[in-house]
Amino acid sequence: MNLFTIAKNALLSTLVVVAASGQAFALGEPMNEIISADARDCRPGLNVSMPIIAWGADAVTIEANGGDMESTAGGFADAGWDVKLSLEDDFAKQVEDYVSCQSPFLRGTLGMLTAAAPVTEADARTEQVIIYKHSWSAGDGIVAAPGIKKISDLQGKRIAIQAYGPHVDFVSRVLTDAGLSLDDVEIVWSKDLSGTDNSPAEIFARGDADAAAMILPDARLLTSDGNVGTGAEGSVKGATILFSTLEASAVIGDYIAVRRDFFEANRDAVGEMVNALLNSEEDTRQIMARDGDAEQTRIGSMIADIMLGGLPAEEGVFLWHDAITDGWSGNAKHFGDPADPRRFSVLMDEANAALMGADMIARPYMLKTAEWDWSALAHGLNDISAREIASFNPEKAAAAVQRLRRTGQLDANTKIDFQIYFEPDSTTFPAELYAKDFEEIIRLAATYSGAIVTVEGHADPLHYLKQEKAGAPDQELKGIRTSATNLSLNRAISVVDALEGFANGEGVSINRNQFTVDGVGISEPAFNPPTTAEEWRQNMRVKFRVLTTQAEATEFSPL
Amino acid sequence: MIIFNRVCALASIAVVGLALTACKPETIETSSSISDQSYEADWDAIASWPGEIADDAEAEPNPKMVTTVLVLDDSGSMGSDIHAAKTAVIDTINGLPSPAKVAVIGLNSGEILPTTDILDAKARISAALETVTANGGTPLGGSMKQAYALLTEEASRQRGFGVYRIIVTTDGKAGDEGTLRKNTAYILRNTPIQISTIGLGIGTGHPLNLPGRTTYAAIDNVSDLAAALKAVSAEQASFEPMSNFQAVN
Repeated sequence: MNLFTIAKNALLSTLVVVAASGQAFALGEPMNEIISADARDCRPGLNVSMPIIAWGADAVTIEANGGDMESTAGGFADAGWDVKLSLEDDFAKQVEDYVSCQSPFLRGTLGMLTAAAPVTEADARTEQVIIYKHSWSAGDGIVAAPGIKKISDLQGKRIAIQAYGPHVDFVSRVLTDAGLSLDDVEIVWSKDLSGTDNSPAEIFARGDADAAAMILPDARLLTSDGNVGTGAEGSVKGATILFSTLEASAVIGDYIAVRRDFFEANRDAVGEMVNALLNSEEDTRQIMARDGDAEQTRIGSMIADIMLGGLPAEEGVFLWHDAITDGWSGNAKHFGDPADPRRFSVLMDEANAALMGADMIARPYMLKTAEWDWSALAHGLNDISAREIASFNPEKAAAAVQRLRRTGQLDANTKIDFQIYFEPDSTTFPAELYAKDFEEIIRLAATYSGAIVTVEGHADPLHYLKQEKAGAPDQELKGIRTSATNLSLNRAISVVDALEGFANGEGVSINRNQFTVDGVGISEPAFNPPTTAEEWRQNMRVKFRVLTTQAEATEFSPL
Repeated sequence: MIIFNRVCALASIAVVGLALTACKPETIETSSSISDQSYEADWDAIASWPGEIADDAEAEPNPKMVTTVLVLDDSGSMGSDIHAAKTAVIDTINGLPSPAKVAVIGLNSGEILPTTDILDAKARISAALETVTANGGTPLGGSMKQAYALLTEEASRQRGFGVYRIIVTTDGKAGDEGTLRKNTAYILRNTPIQISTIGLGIGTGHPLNLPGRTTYAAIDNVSDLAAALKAVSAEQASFEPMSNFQAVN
């Protein structure tokens, strides 16, 4: 039974839907107000149904199930399971099935799972236990109308988001990092994620929203293949992709949760299921990295057939690459490393903040995790070494940044910026003075791990201005400018050195190649001339910019 | 790698911001200011030098890097003094601290040592100078252009960071004085390149002696050249950050 029927005359900003009970409600309301299914006990045994969603990483689950939705082969079967998979992109339906134990599993992003918490956490039996993290998303984006260049430009604008979908916490995160919150925008809820009149892309295309969070295939269509929409072939004239999870590549995490009662009754078997998933991820990832390989084509076809309605195999391969699977190392780090800037508890806090901001939950929830001993779940794996989410070509990144600066495009490509200030004569950056700033930068770099972060040194022009006023000759003024430019670069390098040292001290690894150093000398002072000591000090700064990915320059390459 | 010689090898070289179209005249040409001989600094142009950066640009340039092109007068008038001059160049290079890069060009020999890291330059300079003799005129203007091109190429790798300078030794009047004035004006107007000159036995009335814009030292004997070169190469513009705020009055 589908919980929803869409009202024929959907309102624009508050879509009214009718529940099975006949009671009308507005999308975006807390889930416990729209789902009334009673919790039921689960049947004993390992013969279960399990939902998957139309997401590349779910190929791992299918492969673990013998490469089919129903199979007696594969890792699950070897571990004693008899699993029937079903594609279920209607999350409310998933929650209803979960509560009634049609399936003991939930499959969603952490934002989605948290949205379900008012329903699931109301009964001890149905409390969620997160057992596995599939992936980070590199396949979602925010498309914006002409005139919206930066995240901060979204203030007061209408943003279309799927209710109970994967983008609520994504939008909240990027708004927060740009100094805004969900309260600063008007949310236009949609029922569906994609492919219907009630999806964010369609709402945006109709002009009923100024921006919309959507999957990248929709975003590319609206923006004429990721450029600027021409207005032709389904695109929206002037529309651009404002931000995507190519840059914010550690924001949307996909997970599997299981009911607490089922978990407690079958803990060891669930552990073996997770081990089967980890082995399947390792095998599938290696296959999907081999372009032209017959096995890659097989899995691409499988994804396309099951999730994309029979599109060509290459579309299935594309969908796979929209996900950055975690595998063993990603799971062990996410759930087990207290120094990981993107650890589970951090994501949990973000999901709570987002959903409370959207009035979808009334209080924060801390969903439980299985607390696995990950080393005990490594059997059968060949490689448990850590993987970087993205790699950068630092030379090309530097050239791209320089080009953006020369052509006046740097500000337009800066999605988030952050500044730290330093003492006038400082050449070192002691951690005790800058710890808070460094923690924030590490968090930003980890959150936007697919984005170039520029570290841009600035110098104060006061000395130059004084010499200029005193009539100093060009030779001297040039010398001061040159020295100031070099000084500003030197400070940028020193800051990155200090940041790296701080991160190492905290047990956090950062990708130095993600940071592109630059020095602009006295060319862009915040105050020119500074008239107070405070303004003078604010000119002596290092500015961090999170840029949108310049693909041709950064050689962004999800691994 | 750009390779220069005294014959018309410059014709095919393109450096962004320049159009090096022919051997004669060897002026640094731009579309807008080819005849502009003003020395007045164009701060916007200076800030944007060297223009487009190289494909192999450094991701993390060394801001302390000093890149120097030494221009050696190997004109016929140097006569036997060329030996002392060569020794002075070797001594100077041996005295340059790291980090540094250096190139050496002769007024008539063209490129003697391409832009080279200082440690490598110290090992190579003696051999590179071995075949240089005093022979020919004093085409200083063309050599300034050549030095400019070498520095621009290097700056495009270093993304413009570091210090760039031309140190000229000369014992006579430029044979291409009009070109020299134009090229010097171009460099001073559009780039942060520092120009220093040591005039040997020619007093101070040289076109490269531009107080407030260039550094110029006059010496009478070639035996003083080594000390003069060392003194000039040790000069560095400094920028000490102010440690206390003082408003502009």
